[in-house]
Amino acid sequence: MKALQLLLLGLSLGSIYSLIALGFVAIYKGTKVINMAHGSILLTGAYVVAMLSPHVGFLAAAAAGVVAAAVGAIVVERLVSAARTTDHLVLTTLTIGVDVLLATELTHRIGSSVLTMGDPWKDRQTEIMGTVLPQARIGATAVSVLIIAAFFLVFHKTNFGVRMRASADDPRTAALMGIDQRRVALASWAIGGGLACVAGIFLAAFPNPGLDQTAGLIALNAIPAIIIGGLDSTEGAVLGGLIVGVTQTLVDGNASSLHFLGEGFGTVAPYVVMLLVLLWRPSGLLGSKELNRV
Amino acid sequence: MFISPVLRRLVAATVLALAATACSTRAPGAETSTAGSGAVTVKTGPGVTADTITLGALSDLSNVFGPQGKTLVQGNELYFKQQNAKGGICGRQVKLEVRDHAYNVQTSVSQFSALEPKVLGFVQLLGSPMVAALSPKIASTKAVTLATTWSTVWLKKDGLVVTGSSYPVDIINGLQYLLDGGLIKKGDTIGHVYFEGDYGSNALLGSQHAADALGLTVKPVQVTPTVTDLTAQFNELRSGGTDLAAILVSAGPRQTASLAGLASSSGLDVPILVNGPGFDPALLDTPVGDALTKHLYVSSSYEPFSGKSSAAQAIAKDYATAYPDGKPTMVVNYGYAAASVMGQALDAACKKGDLTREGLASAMRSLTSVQTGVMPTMNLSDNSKYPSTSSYISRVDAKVPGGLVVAKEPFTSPVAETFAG
Repeated sequence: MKALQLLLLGLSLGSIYSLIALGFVAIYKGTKVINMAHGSILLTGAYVVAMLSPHVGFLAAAAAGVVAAAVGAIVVERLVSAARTTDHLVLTTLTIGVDVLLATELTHRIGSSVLTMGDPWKDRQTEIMGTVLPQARIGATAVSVLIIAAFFLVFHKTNFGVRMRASADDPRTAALMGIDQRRVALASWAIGGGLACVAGIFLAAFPNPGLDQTAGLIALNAIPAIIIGGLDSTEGAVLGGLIVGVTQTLVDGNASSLHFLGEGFGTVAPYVVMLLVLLWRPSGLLGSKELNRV
Repeated sequence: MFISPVLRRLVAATVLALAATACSTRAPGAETSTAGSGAVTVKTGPGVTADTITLGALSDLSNVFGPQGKTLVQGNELYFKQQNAKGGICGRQVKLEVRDHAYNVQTSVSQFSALEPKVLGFVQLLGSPMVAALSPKIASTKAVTLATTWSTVWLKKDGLVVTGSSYPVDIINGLQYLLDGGLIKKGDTIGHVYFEGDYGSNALLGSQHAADALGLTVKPVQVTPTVTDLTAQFNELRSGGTDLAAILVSAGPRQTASLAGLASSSGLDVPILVNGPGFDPALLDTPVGDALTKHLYVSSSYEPFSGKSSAAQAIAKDYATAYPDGKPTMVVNYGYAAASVMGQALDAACKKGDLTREGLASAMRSLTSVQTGVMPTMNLSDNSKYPSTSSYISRVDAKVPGGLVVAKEPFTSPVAETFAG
């Protein structure tokens, strides 16, 4: 019974991680860069929502936040692409620098305040199977499922999705076929940024008191998720996010009986899972295997 | 009698020379100078010159404890500014060298090494990991350091000075308050959510001790600082149909907020008792603000910023003048009181004519009844015990600066006196 409760909680947390992980993967597929500034972009979006929400209402503020995060991500993409190199490792490292700059500015702006989103769920909760589930989390799960479904629909059924997938599989051929690589790059970063902002809103919602200046670090929880799922697999990102959420919740919920593993094992557990998955499947659960022609 | 002008000049020169040597009784190896009154000669050590005493403060101004660290430093500064305006301590102006270690152990170690030769001691060292890393250095350099922690883990360490009452004693006094007020009763079960480590695990010793003595049952649940959604922990507290009479939190403010929200929205209207570090006024603007106002009790050995004592009000007034844009928290008063403890030890060292590190350390241990106005009376003579066993109980008032008002002036539960540490 307790395991089932924790599973529900873990899935609801995991769905939020899935959104972050999906953003990482969208950007990686579009430009082969792992965006280490994702946490700061998440926080930028959440900051905009928190600032606007009391004035224009939650929905309008959320929309503005998503746009702001998407624009923020595009700015980072432009900065990265201005670098005179195509080495993806260098570009990934460059995003760490951008992250530090952005995080410092946000820390300065947010100061000691706690960002709250003014969401409609407030602190209400529902009892499901004897466990208390915050309505904000149920809402987060529902919205995440919808967004992820929409993402896959667009990715697999539209012309735009075909262009994205073609560029991810073979950028050079796609360019020769007349697909504008720059537009694909911009679109993938904008999608990644927008998804991060949605995740940020849900992370700030009850039962969290809100986001503070250190919240950007939460995005790092999605790193084991994308590695577990496979760096270039959108389905893998969703699966990885759920695995991380469930693992973390199961370990945290049993903290007293897992005491022998040491302090804060809940934070470490997803990385342990990541290591085990990597030993078993080096490209992640759903990642494409590297093929070497001999 | 005729004295030749030559002889007269010779005598005058000799007298002058004698007078000059009488003034300069410089002992080899030690710098000396005359203090305020001009009569006492004071032996000095690192960080002390004829007109300045330099003290260090290692704080977190930009990371997780940034908001608290900033106000703590402001409290320190406020005290020394006042002393300097009155002519300083021991005829010297006190200078505070503040460094921001951003809650990074490595940074704090480098900063300590760079600062230590230039200062007499440290009026603030914030962060348990930093205290743990620097404690051997503090012992070897004898730089007297006031550690910003209330854990009994840090007792009996050379050079480290703790102030106020310990976390477990605050919890014991808090439970006594709830019991006396009829908010809990004998036989009740109480949940205790705690951080593992020198803060939470230490506080848990207090609740367990109090539970044994007062006939309560404690249900402990551990949480880590990065977890701010405590749904799983809350469900664990209530697992097996446990009927909780109160929840204790020895964790951070965001854990308190999450629990208060969960408890309140699931209809569990019970008191929530937290240690000082478990509260942050910024939480009052969040959706759980109302739940905190209704149910929160803070137990600490320092008076909240909006306390009613004359000392607290004087500090609040000076704070508003000195930091018009400041966001006062609970630890402004603690910062002021810690600086005052250091100031009183410096005074005592000055009276004994010994402003060296050894002199300061022995002066610190000679203080048996320290009054700061915003903390209970402290006896610093024994480094194996906390200087006090009394706690203030505070409640939320969102309208006042700092968000807390005193509900009960410092008192000691008889159970706290039987707690070792």
